[in-house]
Amino acid sequence: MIPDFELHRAGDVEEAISLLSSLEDAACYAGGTELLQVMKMGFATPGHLVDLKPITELGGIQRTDSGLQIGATVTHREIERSPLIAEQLPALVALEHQVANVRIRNVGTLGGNLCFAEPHSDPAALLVACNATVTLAGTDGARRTIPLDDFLLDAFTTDREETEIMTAVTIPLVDRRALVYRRYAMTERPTVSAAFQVTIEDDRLSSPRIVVGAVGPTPTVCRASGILDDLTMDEAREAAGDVASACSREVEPMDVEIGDAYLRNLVAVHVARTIADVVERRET
Amino acid sequence: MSHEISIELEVNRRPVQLVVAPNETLAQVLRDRLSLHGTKVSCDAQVCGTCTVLVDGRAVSSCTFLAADASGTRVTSVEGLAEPETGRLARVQRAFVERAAFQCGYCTAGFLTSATALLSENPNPTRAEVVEYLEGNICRCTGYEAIVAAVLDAADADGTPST
Repeated sequence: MIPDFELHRAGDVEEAISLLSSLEDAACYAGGTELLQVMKMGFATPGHLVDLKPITELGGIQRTDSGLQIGATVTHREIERSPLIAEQLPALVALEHQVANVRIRNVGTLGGNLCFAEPHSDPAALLVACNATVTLAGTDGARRTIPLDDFLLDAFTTDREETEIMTAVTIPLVDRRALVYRRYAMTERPTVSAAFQVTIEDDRLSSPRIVVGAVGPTPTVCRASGILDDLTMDEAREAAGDVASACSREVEPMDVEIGDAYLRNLVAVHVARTIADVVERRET
Repeated sequence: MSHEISIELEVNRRPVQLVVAPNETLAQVLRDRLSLHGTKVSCDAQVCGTCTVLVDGRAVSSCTFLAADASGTRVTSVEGLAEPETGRLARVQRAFVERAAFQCGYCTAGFLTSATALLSENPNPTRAEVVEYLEGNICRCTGYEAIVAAVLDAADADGTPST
């Protein structure tokens, strides 16, 4: 049973923000796959839900000067089936295909996923690896765009003010072949995930970025990624094991019942595989 | 506290007008208001798939879908899969019967609606595609082999007008 609340439909961004500012105890609502679930469980009991789905500006996927822009209320399934994303960022399409189940993907939104900040989010790790940014709209027409990495502060905690809404996620265009994502899931959500993004020119790696998801409270941007910087593909293959071990020491496992050592081992395995994916894909 | 909402929708091809509470789910409306008990609720957490219905052709978990959000949509529950005039079962339902693709039957409605969504999106899926699509539907009797075979039969039948 979902606790009682009042439902408000917002027609545009300004109306949504004005509702959030004037109503006490209001929450943003879109797909509801996370929010309605925690309400059922009694973890949240907002008196008012402000439905953002009617807001046209929050939908749509487009290519802009800054990269791929995905509206906050775009569903996982829309991303999974978008020809534009398939062409520009196939790793994101593959990732979305694995999210939960088709019913959740049909309804759940990217913005909702990121704003809920569940540590086991699939998209968060890959998007942080890509240096994605999120745009937030606030009172008095204010808009700000910040890196997703800075937006995700802690488990279930983001930098979003209560009177702000996320409008879009922007992903800088990256080398589509040098972005990979892997996950291992024992339930519907990943137990561990690893994303690796790198620039490759003349057989040499630069700006490597390894992000581990689902293990710590927020995606971990691994400092050990730097070991791969300026290595050749052959050298990167040699270094992969060391980099993976170093990454596994950087994470802060939360799911203690699964076992700290086991989780770190999973991290090392998956990081090593993402590096191998990139190195081997280039050779063939 | 009550903030009632008037909704108009189509349920199994019939127009329906209702006044619902904001916190009422689509599953509650189907079962408790419209007496369509084919839709089952089991996990109540969008994991098991027993409550799957189609909203404008898309599979959703009706246990966690607000009835208010179904306003203006076409909802199909398991009761709406058969041919409306003759009551003849849909191909996918007949395939389930022929394959005996159920044991206790509690998950069946959800598998049938999910399979219907799959076959409308992808009329000739591979076995792997069927398995992947139905991954979010759980059969606790573990009768998956017959279910997958039935869905593949229904897909084949779709390509053969004579059946």
